[in-house]
Amino acid sequence: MTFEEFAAAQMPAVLRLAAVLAGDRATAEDLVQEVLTRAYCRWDRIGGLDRPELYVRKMILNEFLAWRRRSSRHRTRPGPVPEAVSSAPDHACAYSEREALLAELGKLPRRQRAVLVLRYYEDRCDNEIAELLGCAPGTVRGYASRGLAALRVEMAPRPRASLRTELES
Amino acid sequence: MRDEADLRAALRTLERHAPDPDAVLLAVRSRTGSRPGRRGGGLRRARRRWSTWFAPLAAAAAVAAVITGLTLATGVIGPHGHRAPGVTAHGFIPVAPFPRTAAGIPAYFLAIPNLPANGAGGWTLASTVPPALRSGETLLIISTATGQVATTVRLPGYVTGIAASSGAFFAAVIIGQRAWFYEIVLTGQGPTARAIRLPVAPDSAAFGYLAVSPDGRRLAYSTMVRHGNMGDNQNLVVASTSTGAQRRWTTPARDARGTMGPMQWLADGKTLAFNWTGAAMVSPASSLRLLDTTAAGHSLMSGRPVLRLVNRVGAFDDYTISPDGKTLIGIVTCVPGCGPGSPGTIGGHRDAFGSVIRFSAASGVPAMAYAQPPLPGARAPSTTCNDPWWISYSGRRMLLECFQHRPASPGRKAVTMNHVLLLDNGKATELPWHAAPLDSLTFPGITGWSGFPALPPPP
Repeated sequence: MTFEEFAAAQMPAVLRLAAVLAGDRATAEDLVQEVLTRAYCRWDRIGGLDRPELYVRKMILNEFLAWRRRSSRHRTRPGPVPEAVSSAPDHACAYSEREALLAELGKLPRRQRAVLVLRYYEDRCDNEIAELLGCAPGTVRGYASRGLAALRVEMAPRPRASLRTELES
Repeated sequence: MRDEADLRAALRTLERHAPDPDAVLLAVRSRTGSRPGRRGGGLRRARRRWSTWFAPLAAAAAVAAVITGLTLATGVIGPHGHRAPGVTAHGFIPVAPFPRTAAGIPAYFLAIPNLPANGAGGWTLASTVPPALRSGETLLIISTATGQVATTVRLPGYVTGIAASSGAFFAAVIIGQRAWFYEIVLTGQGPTARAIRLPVAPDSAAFGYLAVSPDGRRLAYSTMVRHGNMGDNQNLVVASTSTGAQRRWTTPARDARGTMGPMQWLADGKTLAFNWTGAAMVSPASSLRLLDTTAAGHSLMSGRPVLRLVNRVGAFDDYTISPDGKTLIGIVTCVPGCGPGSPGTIGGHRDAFGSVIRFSAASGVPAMAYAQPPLPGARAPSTTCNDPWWISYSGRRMLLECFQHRPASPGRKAVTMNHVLLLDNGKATELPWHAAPLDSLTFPGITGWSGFPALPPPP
C-alpha cells in the first residue's frame, strides 16, 4: 500500500481517533502530523506490513501517551464544571452533562482515557486494545474499570459473547 | 444518569476536533520535504524527498537539461577518494568564494538527486540503503540562475550529509558503515567538480547533520544516541578540515530527551547555531541555540538559547539564522492554536500556515516576510514554503522554495506548483526554474542539509 493509498483510505479515521484521544484540534493536529511525518519517512517498511493502518494507529496511541506524559506540565486542564442550578430538565441539560463528562474524561490518566476511547469509540475488544497498548487484557479491564468509576458511568450488562471471551482470556 | 451510551455519544462529539486532512497532509509533506524531520530528530528526520507530484516535471526538467546541451563535466574519484595531485599535504584547499549571480546569490549549489524508488513511497531507511547507492552516489552541482545541472561529482558511497562553505562543498559519505568526509571543489570553466577526502577521522556513529564554517576550515557534524532503530542527535563533533583535530560536545543527562536539528555556522567561524527540540516542542528548551565552539566545556547546552520554537507567532520546526547572527527566519508549521502561549498572531492578525516570518535575534520581535498566495479555488491552508535555501549576510535577502496546492475536487484534479523565489526585503522574484529532481541540497553560507541519516546496522 502506498502512502497516498493509505491517506485516501484511512486518513479520516486516523484523524478522528487522534481528535477523540486528544480532545482538541490543535493537539490532534500536532499528534497526527508528528506520527504521519515519521510514518511517511518509513513508509517503505510500514506500507509493506499486512495492516499498515493498525501500525499507524499504534503509533498514534504511543505518541498520544508519550506526548501527554511529556507535556502535561504545559497543558491547560479543563476547569471545574459548574453544578446545574435548575432542577427542571431542559435541552441544555444534555449538553452540559456531556461537557461535564468530557471534562472529566480529560482529567483521566492517559492510559485510562486511551482504553475508554478504544473501547467505547472504536468499539475494540479488550484483546485488541491490549495488543495496541502492549499490555495484558486484564490490565485493559483494570484501566477501563477505574476510568469508568472516575467518570461515574454505569456499565450496561455485557453481552454473553464478551463475557465468554473475558472468562477465556 | 450516565451510562455507556452517554460516554459513546460524548466521545463521538469529539470528532468535531478532527483536523483538516488536506492541511495535515500538506504539513507532513512540507516537513518531510523541507528538512529532515522536525522535533523528532535522529532517525525521525527524513531525507528530503520531493513529492510524487513533481516526478513528471522533474523528468521534463532533466530532459530539457540534456537537450539544451549543458556541459557536464564529471569528477570521478576512486573507491576511497584518494587525494588528488596538487592538493596540499594537510588536505585543506583554500578556494576563492563562489562566483555570484547578478542578484548576488552564489552561482552554484550542491544537490542530491532523487533516490530511486525503494518500496511504495520511494523512501529508504538508512540501514537499508539501496544497493545501487552503496557503491557510490552522483551529486549534482546546479546553476542558481537556471536551476539546471552545471556539473556532477561522484562520491564513493552513500551521501548522508552535505554542506557548503563560501567557496566549496562538503559531503559526509558512508563507506563501510563509517562516515567519511569529502571536500568538493569547482575548477575551470564549465565548471568541473572534484572531490577530495579530508583528513578527518571517519566516524562510525549514526550520522545526523553536517555544517561547515564559511572559510571551510571547520566542519561540524552531529551524531545520534540510539534508541533501537531510532535515535536523537545529541553529540556534536567539530573537526579541522586541515588537521583533523577534533572537539566533542555531548548532551547532559537532564536534556536526554532532546535532539539537534539543522546547524549553521555564523560568519565569525566559531559560533555554531543549531536547532534544539527538547522533550516537547512547547518546552522552553526547544529553541535555536548558539554555541561558542572556542569556549571551554563539553556540554552541548553550554551555549545560549535565542528564540523558542513555539512562540506567540506560532510553531516552527526550526529557524535559519543570518550569518551576522541578527535575524532568524522561520516557516509557520502550525495553523493558529499551536499550543499554550501560542495564539498564532503577528501584529494582532492571525498568521497562516507556511508564512515566512522574520525575527530579530536580539528582541524576538517578529515581522511577516512573505506569505505565498493560495491558488485560485484553493482554501487555506494550501500553501507553504520550505526553509530558505540561502540567506544573505544580514538576512535581508533569501532564496525560498514555496508550494501551492489545490486539492482534487469533483471534476478537477489536484494541482501542486512549486516556485523558487528570491525574496529581497519582502519583494519576491521568481527564478526561471523547473521542478528539479532534487533530494537534498545545500547553498554556500547556509546550513548543510543532511540526507536521511545513515544508520549502520546495530552492532
